Amino acid sequence: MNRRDLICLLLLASCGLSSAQLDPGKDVIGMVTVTVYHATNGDAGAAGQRAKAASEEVVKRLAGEQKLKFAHYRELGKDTKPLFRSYENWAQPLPPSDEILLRFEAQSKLSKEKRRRLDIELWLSRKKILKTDAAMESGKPLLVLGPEWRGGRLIISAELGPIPLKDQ
Amino acid sequence: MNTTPDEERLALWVEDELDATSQAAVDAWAATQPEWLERREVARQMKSILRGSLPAAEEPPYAEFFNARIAREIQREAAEVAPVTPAGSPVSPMVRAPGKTWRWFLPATAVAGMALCFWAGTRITPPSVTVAAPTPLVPVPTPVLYTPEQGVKADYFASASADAMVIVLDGVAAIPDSFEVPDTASTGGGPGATTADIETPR
Repeated sequence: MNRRDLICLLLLASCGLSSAQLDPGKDVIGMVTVTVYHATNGDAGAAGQRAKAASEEVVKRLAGEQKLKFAHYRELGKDTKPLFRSYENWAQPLPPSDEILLRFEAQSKLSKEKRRRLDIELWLSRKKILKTDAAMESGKPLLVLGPEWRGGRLIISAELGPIPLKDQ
Repeated sequence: MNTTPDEERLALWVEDELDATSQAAVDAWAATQPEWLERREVARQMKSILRGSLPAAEEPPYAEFFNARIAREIQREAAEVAPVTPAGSPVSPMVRAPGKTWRWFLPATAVAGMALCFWAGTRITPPSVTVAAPTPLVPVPTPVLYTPEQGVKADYFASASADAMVIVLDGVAAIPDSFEVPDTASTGGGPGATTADIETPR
């Protein structure tokens, strides 16, 4: 490779880099946090040593709804991923396992700063189980009462949060 | 023979405006027309009422002022058309006809005034009016639910008690109890790494 080829390659690389940096579709317009809880009326320790007790706030929220009311709640995993303006993203709350995945993508903005409709897909055991277009807003999660596991049910919580300060 | 007077003549007759000959002719016709006689009587009464309440002639208000203005304008125009100052007079043209000189300044002054008003308008900031944000009256429509897997049903409802949106899945295959939560599953608060095949913008 002579010097001229090297310069051409460098120019092409810089062009690609600059176009990627200018892509407004990559703007972060929010953060999506996905948390998986194990809810059971049986043995709280069935979720294993790795699981930790859900916070008091979460317990209050979940137990406040009759359909989600269980005796014990354990947090199994959590993942927070940026919501891009144009691109989809995936949350993997139990990495590296892909047993539970949540795909999300911005769809429309319903009000000035509060609500945003997202395309959401819940994937369980590598199968798309649910697709919805819920209107998400900060502080108001989407709770999915999911599959059974070890004598209880898994609850998948997806919540839209604000943009981190460093990305604003 | 049709002796009925035309409408114009009748109107003048009602107002007592006809000459003597025509008046006599219409009077002869109207002698058998009580309706028209009554109409003329009403008109006469109205006239007498108006005469009693209104002066015969009234001077317009500020007549002297208007007359003086009119006289001055006539004088000015006459001076412009035929200047009376003889040639070689020491009086300058501006003194002779000041209005003529100003006539050239007036458009420029008007334009300058308009420009000034426009500029002043751009400088004036209207007082800020605080309008309360409209309360969202329309509730958020129920999201569309799609469950591609056969036998899986999803039920959505908004839970006020949990302050959340809830979807209850029924018919989902259970996750095997043998599944162990990986040790690497994060239960902390920090965001994880992006799994999308694009870079997170900094």
